[in-house]
Amino acid sequence: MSSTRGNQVQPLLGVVTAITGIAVFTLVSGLFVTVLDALRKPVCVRDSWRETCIEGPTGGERALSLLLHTPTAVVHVGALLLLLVLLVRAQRLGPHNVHTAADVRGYGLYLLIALPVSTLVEALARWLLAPYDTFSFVGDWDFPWWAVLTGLGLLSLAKVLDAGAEMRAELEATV
Amino acid sequence: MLQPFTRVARFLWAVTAVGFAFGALRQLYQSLTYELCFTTSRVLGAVDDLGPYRNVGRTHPTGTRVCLAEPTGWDQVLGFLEHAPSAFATAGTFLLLVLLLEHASRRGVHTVETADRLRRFGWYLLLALPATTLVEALARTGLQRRTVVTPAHRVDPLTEWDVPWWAVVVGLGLLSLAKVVRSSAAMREELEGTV
Repeated sequence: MSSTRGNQVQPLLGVVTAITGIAVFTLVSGLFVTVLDALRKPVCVRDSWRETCIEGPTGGERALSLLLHTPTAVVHVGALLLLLVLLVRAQRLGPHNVHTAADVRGYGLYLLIALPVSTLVEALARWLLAPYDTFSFVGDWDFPWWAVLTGLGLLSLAKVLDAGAEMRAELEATV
Repeated sequence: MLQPFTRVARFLWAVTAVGFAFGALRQLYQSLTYELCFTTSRVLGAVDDLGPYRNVGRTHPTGTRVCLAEPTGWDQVLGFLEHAPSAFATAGTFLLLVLLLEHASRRGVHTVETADRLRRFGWYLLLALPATTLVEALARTGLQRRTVVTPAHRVDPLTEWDVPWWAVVVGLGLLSLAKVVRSSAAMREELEGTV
């Protein structure tokens, strides 16, 4: 049984491990460069309509410029790390398990909430630094449909796994 | 059990199908009015930089919009291939998803057939979606090469390729899920056998 459990998450676990490794490295080096750029370079904002550069930005504008790209990067890497944790736990406990179902539900909620919020924060940062129009950040919001859809799918999947866990408990009780 | 998701998928299938139909009509209208526009990911700094393009377009922050005044038939084909495949594939994704969910809610989730459908859907996401965006990148590169004057300003298909990473990860996830469902189908048969 344990060998088949190991296989069940396998094509995914290997790929996610590799991608996560690359992503964490890219994130750490990227954050380093972003902070250095925010301290020295002029602040440039590229929204859906034009590119604006602020010459001699204030400290607040420099701080705000950190929010131009980092939120989605952090949330994406967080999504990969959470997926890795979920897969490792599922491999150990087996998929038909109340804990795995709870993990899947939590992950679904993370995708459903954190990713749209992160792109909204970036749109707001662009809008605050260089407003194009009143409430133009709404039009500039890059809404991650795939994350919302996948998140909803995972909530359904959690229900399915709950049912599977019940079934397994029943099966073990009858044996 | 599958309820909030099935309704959302059905809604999105309707939206993408209608959007695809409208897009096709718009394309047809544009080919009749003899104008063809596309956006390359190449960003040109200033308006003067539009020099390399024979037919001057408009610069966007995310790319350059180029229009062909008198496109040939081959240009029209490339123009169609430049954006239609992924629209088609997206509509197809939702159709497959709705069929899968309806099957699962009718016949039960923990069945061998549902596992097979999940696996096929996973392969579809894993292969069809990246393939369509690659076709679009190749078509866009072809169009760009027909409009650009200087070879130095030619773009590489790989830089134009917008790889849908989420589809790759979700596709792999579905392959794993298919295995899980297959094992639970076996479990269910066992359980029904003991009862």
